[in-house]
Amino acid sequence: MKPLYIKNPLLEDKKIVIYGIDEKAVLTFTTLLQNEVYVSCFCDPEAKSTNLKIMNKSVITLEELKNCKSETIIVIGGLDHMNRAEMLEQEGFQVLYDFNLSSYEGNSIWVQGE
Amino acid sequence: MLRVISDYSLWELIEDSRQYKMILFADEKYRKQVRKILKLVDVDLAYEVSEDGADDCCQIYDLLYEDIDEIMVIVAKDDFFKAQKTLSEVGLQMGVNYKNIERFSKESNLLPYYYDPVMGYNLETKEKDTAGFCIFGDKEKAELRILTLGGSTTDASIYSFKSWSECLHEVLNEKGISNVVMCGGVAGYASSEELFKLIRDGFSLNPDIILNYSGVNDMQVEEEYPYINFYMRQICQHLIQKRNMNGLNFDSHSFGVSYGINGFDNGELSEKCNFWVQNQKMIHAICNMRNIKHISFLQPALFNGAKPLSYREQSYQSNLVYVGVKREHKESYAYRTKNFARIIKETIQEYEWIVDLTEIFDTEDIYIDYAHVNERGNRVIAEHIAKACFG
Repeated sequence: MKPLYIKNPLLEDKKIVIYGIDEKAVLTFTTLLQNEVYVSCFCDPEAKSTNLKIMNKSVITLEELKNCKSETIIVIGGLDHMNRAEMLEQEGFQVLYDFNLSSYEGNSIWVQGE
Repeated sequence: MLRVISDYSLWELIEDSRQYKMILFADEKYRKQVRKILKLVDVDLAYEVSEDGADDCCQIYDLLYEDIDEIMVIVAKDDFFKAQKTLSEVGLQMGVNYKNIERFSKESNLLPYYYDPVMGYNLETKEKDTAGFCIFGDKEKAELRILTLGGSTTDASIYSFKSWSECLHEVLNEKGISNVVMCGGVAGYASSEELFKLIRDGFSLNPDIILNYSGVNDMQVEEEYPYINFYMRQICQHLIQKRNMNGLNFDSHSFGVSYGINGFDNGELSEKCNFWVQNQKMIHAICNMRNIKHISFLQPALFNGAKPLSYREQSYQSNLVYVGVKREHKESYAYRTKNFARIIKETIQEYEWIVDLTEIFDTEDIYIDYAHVNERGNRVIAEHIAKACFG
């Protein structure tokens, strides 16, 4: 796993998937949103297929994610999914992490006037 | 200049985009970034409007050609009040057809709030003899005069749709009961403000029945001096900073602020439950003394019932990290809400005049957020209250 730098060139032209649908995942999404990184979807580690969207993004299963392994970067937030993320990395996924979520105040975002 | 799109606002905006044609009305300096953010959350804009004739924007008056039930205008302007005036001139209503990006909610705020020396603040209604109350029905001719009290879930001026008090008036009319409902609910009021408002204003309206609908706001009362309203604390702090008060003996005395005796030992949840119950008991005792029928209702909330959740309610629970007036962490808020209801339910079993409404909702989409409900929800509440009062 590599730490997530928001202006990471790795993120360009890749499908960004956030691992998890918990609060940490939502915070990770907000971090990326605030930094203008487009997130494609969330991945539910419990592998439940759901119609519920998180921040207007679909939730896909791990199996679905495996079909697009080469063009996908998985981003995880918080320590909860660390073991699973290491396993994903062993399976050939590129995994980035952002454990420094405590500074993020919920999912509020800022709009800076030009 | 920065604009903040809060947790709730971002979620509500996304939810609205599933239902409405989204239109942006923004200051030039915010346009580009708002567009970018909306794109990142897959919210499509139908078009943008402006007052300054920007090339890539339509005119405000183009909104007149729209079916207003199908559009939602996102306002990102420094001068929101000016935007509000412009949009109301083309027939749009805040909270219904347009929303401020910083507080993107269904709130229409039909009446202003004014500072109030007893309750901290109060609704400013036009009629002096019913100041602070929204009236449903003919107060002169009605045979039954009902007074309702509570917080924002009772407040009849926040949303454009019907409050439970207005629904109650209709439900009773349908039953052939001539009635007027005088709604004194004000957003943010806890049971202490209900008590104070009843004593100061409520009895002057000569009610036959008094109904309190509350609970959730008492979870949020301050940990010290719970009877002092949070706006009143701000006013007092402001006054002592100004030090410009005159009056008997004041010239020769130093002047601070007294909140009296702190009624809480530690401000823990059980004390707040007790605070709500004790205030309801005081209200009941005063009503008994005046021979006025009184019933208190413990209100339902998203986190305190066993209701199966609708898509929107599930989405609210899944997407929000912080909830409630004080932006409390969701897990902790949910835990406290459940416990608050549990403790109160155990306590109120012996009082037949306190009715538990926490389980009244079924599978329908009801909750707008952690406690506020849509018009359908208000109708269900009114039906249950009517049943509790009249069988």
